[in-house]
Amino acid sequence: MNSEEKNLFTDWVNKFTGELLSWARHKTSDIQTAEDLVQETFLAAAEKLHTFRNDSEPKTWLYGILNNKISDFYKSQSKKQKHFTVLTNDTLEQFFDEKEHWRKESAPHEWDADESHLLDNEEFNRIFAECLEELHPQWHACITMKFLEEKSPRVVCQELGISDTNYWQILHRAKLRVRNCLEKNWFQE
Amino acid sequence: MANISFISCKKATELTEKKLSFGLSITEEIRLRVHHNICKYCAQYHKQSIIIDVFLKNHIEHPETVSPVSGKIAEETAKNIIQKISV
Repeated sequence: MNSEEKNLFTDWVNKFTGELLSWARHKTSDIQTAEDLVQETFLAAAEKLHTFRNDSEPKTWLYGILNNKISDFYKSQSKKQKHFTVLTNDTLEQFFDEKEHWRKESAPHEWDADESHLLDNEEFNRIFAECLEELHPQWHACITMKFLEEKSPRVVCQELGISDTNYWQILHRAKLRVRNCLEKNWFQE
Repeated sequence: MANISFISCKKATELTEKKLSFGLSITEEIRLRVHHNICKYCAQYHKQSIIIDVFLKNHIEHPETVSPVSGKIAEETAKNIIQKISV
């Protein structure tokens, strides 16, 4: 890097580290991992600075690199698990009784909302992010991979090394929690 | 005559997620629809699960909505990175 590039790059580091770190931490539930990933992101970016098009947004470009690193992190973590240990029944028991009916206090109510307006609602998005934060990291990984990569669920399963069944069982438990969290913290207010 | 056995709410919500990820067999699809006809809770759950997918996609595109790390940690990390780049 010449000195002009270096100044620009240093500027980016100072400007964007906070945000990138926050996102990485949210996605991996661990600040140390987040720091490592953000560092790797900037190092990778420095090496391919010449590929950055000046008409693009640096922040978007950096997030792109970071999200790839997060994805790789999920894959390596998943391979390390011998079994997917997080398919316990306590979530299911929280929502369903012995007859497998909804428990009264957990049964879904109608949501009085126009989803298209919610997408831009800062307060809502914050609460949604908090609901996701409560999830077990492995669940968060499955959910994130689904939307981050825009790959089919089958491919995501292969990359995470889990079965189709495990995948939707995880999504099932995660969605039950997220749905409940949203209903209690937003739609029922 | 097809054997339409009635499924539980727990099973119905599982089928919702299976449907949204991989799709269902015809038997499963029928069982789910029959259940939704008689159970408004699970019908709601199904609608809401689809909505949550929309929120999840949006969430990925709005990383600024997550809780921020402390300024101190951000500064430390930025400093370390700048040092590494300067080498």
